[in-house]
Amino acid sequence: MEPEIRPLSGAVVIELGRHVAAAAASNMLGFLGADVIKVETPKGDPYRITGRDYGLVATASENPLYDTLNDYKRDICLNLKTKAGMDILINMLKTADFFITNYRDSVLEEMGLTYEDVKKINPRIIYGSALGYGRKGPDAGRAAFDATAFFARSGWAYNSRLGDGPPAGAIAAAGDTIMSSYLVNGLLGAYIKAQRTGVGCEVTTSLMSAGMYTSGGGAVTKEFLGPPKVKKFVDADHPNWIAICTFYPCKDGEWYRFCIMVVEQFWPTLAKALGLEELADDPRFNTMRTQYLNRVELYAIIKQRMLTKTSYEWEEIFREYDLPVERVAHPDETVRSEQAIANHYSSKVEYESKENIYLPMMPFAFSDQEGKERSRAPMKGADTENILKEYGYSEEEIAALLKDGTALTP
Amino acid sequence: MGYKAEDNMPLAGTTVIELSRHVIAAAAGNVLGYLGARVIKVETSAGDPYRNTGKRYGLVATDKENPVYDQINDYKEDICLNLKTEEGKAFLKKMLETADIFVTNYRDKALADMGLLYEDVKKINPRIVYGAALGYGRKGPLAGKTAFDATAFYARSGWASVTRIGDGPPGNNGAASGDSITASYLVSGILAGYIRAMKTGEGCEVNTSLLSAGMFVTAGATITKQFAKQPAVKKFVDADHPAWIPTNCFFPCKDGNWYRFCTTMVDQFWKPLCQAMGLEELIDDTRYNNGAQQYVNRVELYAILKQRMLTKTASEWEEIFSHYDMPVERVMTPPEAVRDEQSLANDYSCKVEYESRENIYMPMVPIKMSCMKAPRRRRAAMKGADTREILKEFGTDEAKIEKMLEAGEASEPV
Repeated sequence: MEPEIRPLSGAVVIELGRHVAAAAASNMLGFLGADVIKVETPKGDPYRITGRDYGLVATASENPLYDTLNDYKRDICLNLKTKAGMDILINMLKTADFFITNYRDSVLEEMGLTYEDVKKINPRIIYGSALGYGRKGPDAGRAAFDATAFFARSGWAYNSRLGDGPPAGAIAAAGDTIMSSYLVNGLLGAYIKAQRTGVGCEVTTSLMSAGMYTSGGGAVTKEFLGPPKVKKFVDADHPNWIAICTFYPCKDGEWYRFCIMVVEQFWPTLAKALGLEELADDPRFNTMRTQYLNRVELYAIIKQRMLTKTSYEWEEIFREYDLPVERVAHPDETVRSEQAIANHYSSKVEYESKENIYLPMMPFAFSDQEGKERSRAPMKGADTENILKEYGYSEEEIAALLKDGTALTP
Repeated sequence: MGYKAEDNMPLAGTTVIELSRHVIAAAAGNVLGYLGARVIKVETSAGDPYRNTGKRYGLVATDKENPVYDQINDYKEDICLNLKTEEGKAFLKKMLETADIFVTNYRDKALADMGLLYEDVKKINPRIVYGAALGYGRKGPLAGKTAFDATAFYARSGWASVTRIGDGPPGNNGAASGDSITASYLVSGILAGYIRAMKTGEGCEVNTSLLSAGMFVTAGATITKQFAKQPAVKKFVDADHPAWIPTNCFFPCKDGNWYRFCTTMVDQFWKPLCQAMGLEELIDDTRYNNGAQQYVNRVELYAILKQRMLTKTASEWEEIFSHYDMPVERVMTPPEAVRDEQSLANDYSCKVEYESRENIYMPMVPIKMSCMKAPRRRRAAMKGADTREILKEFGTDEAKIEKMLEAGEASEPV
């Protein structure tokens, strides 16, 4: 039987990364069918330990947080401080299609693995770099995390504030994950060009750049309007805009998100669903303008109603109507929800320490191919021997490399 | 006039037909245009409703000047066709015959009515890659439900629930930010489908959804919540009672601006942080100089750090912190970010000329390639700006063009 052709079948990716950014990008390429070889040093990817900070199991063999970014790969462990170890890596780069890294430029220079270096080894290679603040300017090379460079710097965090309060926190690694999506787009574009020209190139993105690009329409709005003329509200009971486009608390302490931006379109239906039919035609609330003027009053009315039922009861009620309102779900609920499973948006993964764990699938699907299911990532060095063999090393050579610590297995 | 890419861009030679309303498919089309594909945006007679969105925000939003619309439509040509007429539909299908990619966020029902579902388009052109942007997905109890990023991407996925401050409401999110992120994943899928079509000669449909993308970027929280034991600590009620260590928090400054610390790697950052803040006496204080104790004493430590932060403005702190390589960051507003030196030095933003306002900057698409000169942000094409040219290109003679324009089967700017 013919093996199924996935978009990147036949392509080889070498990943040299720490934590999230490079790993997320190469995991997507692996999902698309590339053979991804993740190179770890003897200490291992520090992201194998991060789970502990969140109270998660994070051992060599059971590491769900690490799995979210590393399951579509093989893993080789090499001591890159030795010449023998570097030679193995260089050998792999000679025939690879992609090299992806988020090591700092200064480290790559020391190792002889900048794009300039790698280009000489393999002019066709596509070299992907995930940066923090970019290579130029006063913050070039500065320590960067997505909390700072992606969220705080870009305007994201600012946009998340409610009044004068602090910004909302962000999801761990979400900024890196979002940035890596743009890196993948660049890498695929470069791959397409390389098919035509036979020449590769370097593709870069950065946390700061990606954060700025995705921070939302607010960017250009504030450009044009300058600082807001209206006094900013101080709490949720004083919404900045119309009361039907904000969050409401429910009886069970959970929240509901209303996102109605065109009053005339949805207000009568919403009023009915809330059991406030008498307000559907109320001139205080039935146009954009009056809703804006009377937003504090309306917020209080709706809030009082919302607090009479739990978020689940409201979800049941709203189901009868096609309204852009949504329960603020917990992520673990959504990933096992009927909606997610029906659409194959999540995938069950077996663990020893906990049952019934789901991971979200890559957020794109092809009409004629089922996506490869999520799974457990390889242990550090799990594929070292196989990979060395594939690249032409003999049994004796492999044994010697393992013995002197140039290459490692679990 | 619509956009024309330089030669030899990554996607040179590729044609994309975009049939979209509002953000999500348009954002995907714009990234493809940025990468050098020829993107022909098809607008209906009424035009893309997103041309009106700027008005809601109090911005200029005319045929000629429309910064909100420009953000996601500047790397395209624009044809305006009346898709309620046979001629209008026929021309769209004619363009699809030779197109490489079709991207849309029209609802399935509307596409079915026009004979533009994947099954239909596949017959016209089996090689085409058909990209569809969905809300909640095509199956399940919420299939077809009206979806916005605030609901499907942020609320449903779990993102909003994890970004609350104590028992208060979740934080806001930038308008259309979830759409942009989802669009980026659609682009990945489309390019992958295109690569496979290059190999096999066969196209496919690829889709993404707000819900799916929201869930995907929330994975860190999703996995944590599934594995973690029940929370041992009572949830905090305000910023003064952080849920985790204070070196990973927001702090208010004297001028009402905020600062974000992400200095959780205590071994590396506690000492320089204390030095920078003039709290040297705490460097060796065992109540605060290790992760475990920072957690136990977090309320006390937050108070100490907050008190210091309140003695200076955010800009003053920025100057002080610039002498240390630490992951701390001023919470910038979007306009500050796009005109900031760091951004300009790296070509992460550029200036766009408008008539109604001076000195406007926009963020660049966050992809740089050594083989490609990054095209500048610009003003998007007016509705139907390229109608005549494109009709002509696809073999419509002069007489027919005039007839179509007169009959309202196609339109150009007045």
